[in-house]
Amino acid sequence: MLKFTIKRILVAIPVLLGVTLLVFTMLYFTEGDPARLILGDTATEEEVEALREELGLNDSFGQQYISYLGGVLKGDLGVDYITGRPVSEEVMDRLTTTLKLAVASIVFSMIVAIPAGIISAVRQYSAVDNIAMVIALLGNSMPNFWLALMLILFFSVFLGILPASGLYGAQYYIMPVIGISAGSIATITRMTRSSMLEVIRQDYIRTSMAKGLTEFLIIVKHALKNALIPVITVIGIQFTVAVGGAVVNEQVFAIPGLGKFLVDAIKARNYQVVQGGVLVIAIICSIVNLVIDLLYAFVDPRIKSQYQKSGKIKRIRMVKEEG
Amino acid sequence: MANKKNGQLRDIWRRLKRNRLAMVGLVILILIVLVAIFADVIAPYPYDLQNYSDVKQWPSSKYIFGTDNFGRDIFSRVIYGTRVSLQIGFISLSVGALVGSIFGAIAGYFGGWVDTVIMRFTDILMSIPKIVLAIAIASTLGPGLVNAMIAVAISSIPNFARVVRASTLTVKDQEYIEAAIAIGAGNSRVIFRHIFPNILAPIIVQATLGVGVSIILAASLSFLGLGVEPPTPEWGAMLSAARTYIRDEWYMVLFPGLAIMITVLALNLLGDGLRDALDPKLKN
Repeated sequence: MLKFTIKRILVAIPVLLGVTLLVFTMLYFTEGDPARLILGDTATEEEVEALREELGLNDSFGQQYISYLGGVLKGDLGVDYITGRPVSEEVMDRLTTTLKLAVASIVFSMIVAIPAGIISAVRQYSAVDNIAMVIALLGNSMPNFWLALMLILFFSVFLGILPASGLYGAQYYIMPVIGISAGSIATITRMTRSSMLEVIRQDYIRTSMAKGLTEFLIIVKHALKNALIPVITVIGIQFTVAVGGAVVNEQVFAIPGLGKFLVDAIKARNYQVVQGGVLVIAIICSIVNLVIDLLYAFVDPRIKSQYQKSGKIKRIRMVKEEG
Repeated sequence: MANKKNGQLRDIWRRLKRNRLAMVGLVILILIVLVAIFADVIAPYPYDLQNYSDVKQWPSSKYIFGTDNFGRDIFSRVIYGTRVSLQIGFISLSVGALVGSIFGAIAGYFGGWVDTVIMRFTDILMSIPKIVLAIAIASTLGPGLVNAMIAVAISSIPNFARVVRASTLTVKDQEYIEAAIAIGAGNSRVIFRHIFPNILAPIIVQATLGVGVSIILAASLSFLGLGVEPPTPEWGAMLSAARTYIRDEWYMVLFPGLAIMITVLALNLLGDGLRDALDPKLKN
């Protein structure tokens, strides 16, 4: 297992470096001169040129990237051209809001989708199964920002029971979380259902039934443990989807998170902020996926045994060679 | 050989026809494509005709879906929007599928460092949420229809690369591939003439489901003001403009969203049906 963990972490390092290179390259080729943006239209060409030199914007691509990477490794994402504050501080101020939304959405998705998937599988082709599958299909087919608008229309405009904008307390989370998690609920429900269907057709489940165990006990104690293993990987992917969903939904609900900050920065051509924001989102998603992969390997006996087996084989070979 | 292929296609069509939901999806999709083709005939008004005496009119016999804040007929804009959204969905997906499939096939076929480099690159793209990646690309290229398509196309590359790589790995050791190499076929011939035709099934399924994702992604970009610009009648851009009026003229946000949902639903139903028809083993 240690070997797998080290291997997986080693694979993550070039990916993270690649993310920094990709984000830097994209923004490097963006039209617009940061020096002109800082100084404004009234500055002379000489003043702009002097600032370009000072900021290192006249250096080669490679030099600029190395200097950027050095900064990133020290937690320095540059300076916001408009406010003059460090980008890392501005990003961190808003990151918590986006992460709270994403985590709440994933937790909500799991609470709804896993039981729905289990019931759908156990009662395959029943009315409950059909309703769950129709809802899952609709959840996968509608854009989350439109669902969010429909929720505002129903709960805020028609019923007047939920606030339509901001994030000042628990009730403010209800609509954004439903909006963000609809797609994930659909995906996790379908995944749990198909995984559960595969497991409940296995021989050991039939044996448990023959032993006279109750359906509830068979599902909770025997089937669920194995059925949830593939669901874990989907949850990792869905976290990335939830962060993306939060970015869009922050715009709908006027939530001052990283997504709204990013979109506002693009419109203001504040590219240092865009670079920092995209990079932080990518790093967090990579780390979450790394943790999920490790968790998957930990709970899946097949991966665990694969690594244990290779260790065992090595030991047998060593013993043979010594012998 | 041709007869065998026709037989396979007939089998797939027979299995697809038996799936009622997939057929519903197919019929809705055909209707949507017809609406896009004949938008000029179906739409009662030009999409950009501003009628200031009929601003913010509720749905009526004159304006089926009502009018927006410029007095433009929402029904006509939704109809023309079908053309724009399908265009974005299909073109960007085709480009993404082509590039991703070639990369995936090369990675799977050659293996070694080529595989490592390509797969790490897809890992990099996949570590960024699709919409954030599309936002970053759109901010580099600027807003506009073509740039939105490029952003969506790039975002769809990694999924195809992964699917095609996995499929290539399953067929590359087959005897017919070894036979092709043995009679002197070059790498590109092996990939394009022997591997691709045998891994088309997962590509088709991924593509059908991917068009819906691309339409939603493009709509999200336009909704954020980073995709298609006004007055082009793209559904996401229409929703972005209409959300200000959600309290008093909520019909403005209803119809473009329904159009997206129905289109993507049809594609998902067909995609699910195709997956089951192409690989019955996957069906529960």
